[in-house]
Parts: sequence; C-alpha cells; structure tokens
Amino acid sequence: MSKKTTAAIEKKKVGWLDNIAEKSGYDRKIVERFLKKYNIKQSPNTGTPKRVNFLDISFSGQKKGEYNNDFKFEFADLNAGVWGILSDKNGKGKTTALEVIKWLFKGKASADLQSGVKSWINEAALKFRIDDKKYLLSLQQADNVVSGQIELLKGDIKNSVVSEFNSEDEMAEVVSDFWLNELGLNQIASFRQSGSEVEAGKEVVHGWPALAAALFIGTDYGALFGDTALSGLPTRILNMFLGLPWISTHAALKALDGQLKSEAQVETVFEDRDKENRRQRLVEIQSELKLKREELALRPIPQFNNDGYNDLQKQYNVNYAAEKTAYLELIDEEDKAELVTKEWVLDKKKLNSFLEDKAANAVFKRLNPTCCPHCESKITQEQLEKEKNEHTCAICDKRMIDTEDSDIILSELEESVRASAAMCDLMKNSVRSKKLRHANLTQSITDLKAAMDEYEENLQTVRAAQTELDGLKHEVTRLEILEEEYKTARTVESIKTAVIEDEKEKPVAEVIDENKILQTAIKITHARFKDLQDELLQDVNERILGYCKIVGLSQYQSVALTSNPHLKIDKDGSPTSYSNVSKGEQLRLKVIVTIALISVAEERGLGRHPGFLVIDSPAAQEVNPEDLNNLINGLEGLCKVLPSLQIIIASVASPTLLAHIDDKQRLHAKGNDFLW
Amino acid sequence: MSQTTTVQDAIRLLYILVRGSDKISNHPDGYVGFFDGKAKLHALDFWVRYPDFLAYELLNKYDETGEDKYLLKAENIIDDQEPDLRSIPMIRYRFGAFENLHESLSLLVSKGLVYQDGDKSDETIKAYYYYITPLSVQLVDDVTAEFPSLAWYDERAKLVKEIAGSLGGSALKERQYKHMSYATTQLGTQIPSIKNEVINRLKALNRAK
Repeated sequence: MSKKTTAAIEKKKVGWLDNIAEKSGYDRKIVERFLKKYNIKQSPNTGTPKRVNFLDISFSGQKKGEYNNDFKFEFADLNAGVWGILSDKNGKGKTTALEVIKWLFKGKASADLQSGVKSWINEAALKFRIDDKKYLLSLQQADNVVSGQIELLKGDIKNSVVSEFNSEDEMAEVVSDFWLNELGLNQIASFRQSGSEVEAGKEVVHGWPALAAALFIGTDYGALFGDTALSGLPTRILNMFLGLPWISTHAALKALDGQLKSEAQVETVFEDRDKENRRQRLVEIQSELKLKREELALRPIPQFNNDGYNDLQKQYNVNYAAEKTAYLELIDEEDKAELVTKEWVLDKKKLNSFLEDKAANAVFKRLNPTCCPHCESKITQEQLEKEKNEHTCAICDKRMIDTEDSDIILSELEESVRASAAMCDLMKNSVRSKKLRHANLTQSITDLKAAMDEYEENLQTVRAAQTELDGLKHEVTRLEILEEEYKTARTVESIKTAVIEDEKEKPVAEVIDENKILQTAIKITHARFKDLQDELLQDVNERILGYCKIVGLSQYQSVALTSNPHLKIDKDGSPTSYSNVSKGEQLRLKVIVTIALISVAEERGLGRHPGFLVIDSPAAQEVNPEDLNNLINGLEGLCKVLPSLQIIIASVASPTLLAHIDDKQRLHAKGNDFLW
Repeated sequence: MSQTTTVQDAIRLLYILVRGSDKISNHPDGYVGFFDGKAKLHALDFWVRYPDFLAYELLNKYDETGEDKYLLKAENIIDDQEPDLRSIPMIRYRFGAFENLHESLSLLVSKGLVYQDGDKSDETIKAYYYYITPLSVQLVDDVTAEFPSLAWYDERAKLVKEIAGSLGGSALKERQYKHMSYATTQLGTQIPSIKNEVINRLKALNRAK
C-alpha cells in the first residue's frame, strides 16, 4: 500500500458518523436516526482479494423431444489458465453448458435456461476453489423441484455442509449469501429512474446475480462491467471489485439521493402541472368574467312599480263593493217592480172585469126575459110592461137599480190602471237603469281584474328579469373571488423537511433538513474512498494501456478508466470512447479492463474480484478473426503473468483457439458431435 | 170569492156556446146550433180561463202540424200577458176543472138565447146538450162590434173551438188532464198557472229554430 493511500486512510480516522454530524451541523443522534430511517449501513472495510477457480463442472439428465437419450456433460480437472468449451459447429450445446455454469455460480437460472433444457437436468455440480478451500455445489432436480447443498471439501475427512437448499428460491438465497460472504461483497443499491414523469423512480438493490454478471462476458458489450449499463451499476461494480471501502454505503446514499430527487421532481411536475392548470383556469375565469360583466352592463335594470297595480287594486275594491251594492239595489228594485207590476195586473184585471161586466149587463138588459129560468114558463107582455113602467123585475118582481155611478167607477179604474202602468214604466226604467249600472260595474271589475292580471304578469316578467340580474351579479362576484383565488400563487410545502420529535430531550419538534444530512453523508463517504479510488484507477489505467498492446490495440495511445466508469481512449491521436470503438475492440477492452483490475488487486492485495472470467462466443460475427487472435494471444500471456487467473472460453472452435488452448484444457465437440 | 159576475160568466159562456157549437139547420124549433154536453162546455171554458194551458196546447198543435200560426198565437198569449190578465182560476174536482155554471146558464136560458135539453130518465136530465137560437148568433155578432171589451171572447171562443176540433167533452177533459201540473193539483184546490213552463218551452223552440 502506498504512502499516499495510507495517509488518505489515516486522514479519515475521525468517525464517519461524527464527521457527518459535524459537517451537517446536526446532532449525532439525529444523523444516526436519519441513517437508520433509510437503512444506510456503514461499510468501512476494504476488500481482500480471493482467487476463485472452477475445478469440475458436470450435469446430466435425459433429453426430451427430438432426442430421448440420457446425457452427461463433464468438464473436469480445471485449474488456472485459459480453458475452452468448443464445438466445430453451432447448436452443439455450448450455450446451454455456459447457462448451467452460470446457474450454478449465480444460484439463479436465466430465462433462456428456464424455458429450455433446465427441466431435462437431473443432477448438476460445480466444484470450485476459493484460495485454498475447495467447495462442491451439487443439486438434484426431480419434477422441476430443485434441492441441493454447498459442501466444504476436506479431502480425506468428511465434508461439511455449508448450507442446503430445497427450492430454486432457497438456492438463489443460499448461493448469493455464500459468495457475498466469501468475497467480502455487499449488496449494492442503485436508483432506477421511473419511465413516467409523474411517478417517482425507486431504489433497486442488486444482489449477487448482478455482481456475478460482471464475470461473464457475453456477446453484448454495451456495459464495461456486468451485463447492464443502467442506474450507475457499472460504477458500483467497478468500485466493489476495486476493493474500495464504503462502496455499498456510498451506493445506498446515492440511491437514496436519486430516490428523493425523483420524488421531488415528480412533486415539481405535479406542481408545474398544477400551476399550468391554475393558469389555464385563470384565463378561463377571466374570459368568463369579461363576458358576464359585458352582459351585466348591457342588461337593463328591471323597473319595479307597484303603484299602478295598487291603484288598480284600490279601484277594483271600490268597484267590487259598488257592484255588490248595485246588485242588491237591483234585486230590491226588481222586487219592487214585480210588486208594482202585480198591482198593475190587478188594476188592469179590475178594469177588464168592470168593462166586461158593464158590457154584459148592457147586453142582457136589452133582452127581455122570455121564460122563467126555473120553471121555463113564458113571460107575458103584461109582465114586461110592468117592468118597464115600475122598474120591477118581470120574473121575480124585485126593484131594478140603475148603476148611475158606473162612469165614475170606470174613470177611477182607468185612473188606477194609468197610475199603476205609469208606476210600472217608472219601475221598469229604474230597473233598467240599475241593471245597466250593475252591468257596467260587473264589466268594470272584469276589466280591472284583467288589467291586474296583466300587470301581475308584467310584474312576474320584471321579477324574473330581476332574478336573472341578481344571478348574473352573483356569478360575477363568484368569478371575481375565483379570479382573486387563482391569481394568488399556491404555497408548496417543502418536501425535503421532516419533523423529528424527541420527547425526552426536545419538547419542541425540530425541523430537520434531511437533504443536508444526505448530501453531507454522500460527500464525506465519497471522500473516504475517493483518494484510494483515484490511486487505484491510475494503476488500472496503466495496466490497461499495457494490456492493449498485448491484445493488439497498439493504436491506443492512452486509456483512462474514470470512476463513472467511462473509458476515454486516445486512438491514433483522436479522442474516442468505449462505446464508439468496434465490437472486437470492445470485447478486448472489456476483458483487459477486468484483467487489469484483477492484476492491480493482486499486486496491492486489495480488491474483491474472484479472478476468473467466462467469455461466451468471442468469435461472433462482429469480432474479426484477427481481433480474436490478438485477444487469445494476449490472454495466454496474461495468464502467465497472473498465475491464478482462470479464463473459460465457450466458442466455435477456430484455428486460433485450438492453437492457443491446450488439448487438455478444452472440451471439443468435433464435426457434428454434441458437447453433451 | 168569485172573480167574475154572473153576467160576465153568462156572456163568456154565450160566446163559447155560439162559437163552439156545430151549426144545424131545419130544426123544428128554429135552432141554428148544437153544443154537445156540459163536460165539453167545462173543457172549453177551462182553455178560455187559462190562456197558459191554451198556449201549451197550441205548442202541442205546433209540434203536431208544424204550422207557425200556432206558435205565433202562443207567443202572442205570453206577450200580451194573458196568463196574468185574463186567467180566471178554477178549482180541480174529481173530473177535472169545474165550476157550477147553473146560474149563468139560467140567465142565457131565461133571455131566450140558449135552449137547454138532455137525455132524460126518471124525469131527470142525465146528459145535457144545448141548442143555440138565431137570436144568440145575431146578438154575439152585434155586441162584438159594439163592445170592444167583448171582442177578445169572440176571438178566443173561435180559437178554442179550432183546437178542440171534433173531440167530445170526455176526450177534451182527458187531454187537459194529461198535463202534470193539472193532474197533480190536489182536489179542491186552485189549478196553478203554467206560464213559466210555456215561456221555457217557447225559448227552447226559438233556440231550436
């Protein structure tokens, strides 16, 4: 370890927690509570390199489908160096063999294997060495149920079972724990951005499978480390394998930062949307308000005037009373007229009767009686003469009286008739007059009622207009209030504050700026490995540049692996980067960067990389044979420099591979043969 | 109290008998008219004394014949207030409207205007009929011209004769008896006027025209 490194570590001897408390200005307990709240754990240890080599790889079972035969794959007695799983043709089981190896090493089968031949396998085993200890991971599968164990092999004495598993989930857990523990690795957290702007991203914990992926170089060279370029994962894998202290703590803090910022961004999005919505609503309100105000200005104020109605009502009441009086007077007058008429009838009848009687008397007096009405005996001439001379009745001999006053009676009767007739006429006129008056009054109250109804109708119209006007005024007021409301900016509560109460020490709640603590913690944690990181990366960069020449990348004049990690390249005097070079170069860079890492770790006794690599199909189309040749050549050389390095290559057999990988160090399915 | 004097009743009956009789000729005693029965005399007298009942009968006649003159005559009766001015109420007895006409008829007989006879059995007249003398006819013609107050009886007796037609006393009584207000009048009480009923009927007829 260099002096500088030692000095850097010495400098950080002040406790991490105290350092954060001091720099953030918060009490140590508050900082502790903050870290506990977000499950941030301290990881101050540096990694000590452990070298892993696969020793035996085997799996067996029964094929299903086109072929039904039993099969067995066995690649035994491996050690450090370059090893090959080769076939002359594609489709002879290389990829499946690699997937089974990954399954056994990672603890979890890939999707390809799951949907493929995994169910054919009855037994599988991986024997490996970690430094001096040998282990055997063996599993059995029956009816798709997986069980197995990891044993520590002790040579002659009985092996001890490290752990067992009885399902695929348990296997994943057991294998993950075993390797993380053995290699001194920690799970690393990263922040995964959400795909939606209105949804916050989330913290993702990457376990052993993500770290292990960095040991398998497939045909996708997008990420410099591992198989995914997302979420800053390559940076953390790099740091982890560099053996830097505080890496998982730093990763957890950064993930938390990402998480909180994302939440804040979502809040901002919501806030912005809210502001925009409010602005749009304000425009709508103002537009509506303008219209309503214009409408209000144009609308005439309804004129209420009850006077006319009241006058009509008064007149109606007067006429109504008058009509009732007139009616009673008319009835009374008609009664009187009827009486007068009866009187006239009586007078008239008397007069008629008198005249009839007088006429009848005159008629009958002219006639002399001819016989007795009783005995019918003839009246004699003598009797008639006697009546004439003595004014006595010729029949009954009674004296006959002339009514000399008949003219007077007639005159009186005629006068009575005239008088009663005159009275009748008078009464008829009076009744007619009263009828007319009553009819006029009846008509007048009918007219007045109609006028009142019309007035009432008009008043209703006015009232309706007033109601509408009031409604409009109310609407304008409502809109004015709304306008005022929407003009006022809404206060958004800070999302970065939290209230922490400590009942014993602080009766009053204190507002904690968690972001301040977080940023301080990130800064301090980063500082704890930053110098060492720089130092190590400088060494790594030197190694990479050296290896470039070995694997045929001599056109590279400088290579700089940054902590991002990006690989800045100066190629023939022009700056470029990992993502811009050819696939063949990417493959070689990916391999030598890892090897450089292993190399530096080996030299410094600092690092967590297990020191082996599995490379799948390096002879793929995109990689030209010369590049491959250069790579294999280089690897052969590097394995000599790094005696514990183990590289397993699965590939179509090529002259280069066959030339560089010793016959004993390869499985080779020749012609149409299968590897298993 | 009688509303009319004996001479008034006598002159009214004289008009009814003269104008309501059937002309005869070659009677050995020189009579020129024959009036069949006291019941008929009562019946015709009823129509003369109740102008409203007569008007009602005229409307029946109008309904039967459709001749406007009957309707017009009925209207005139009402317009001239005859039901008020000319009615001489009668009492309803068992066989309808009745009033003892003996006294007035005696006057007509004693003056030689009417000869009263009848179907006799056991020296008692069971059914009266009357003969009209030439003197009666001449007298009625003369006094009608001389006394305007009597002219109404001349016209009315002729109208009543026309309405009665050839019906006898019983048939006429039965016809008059059909009227509800007549029929439902209690025995011994005055037969009421049906003026309003006639007026309503006239209004209905005029509305229907």
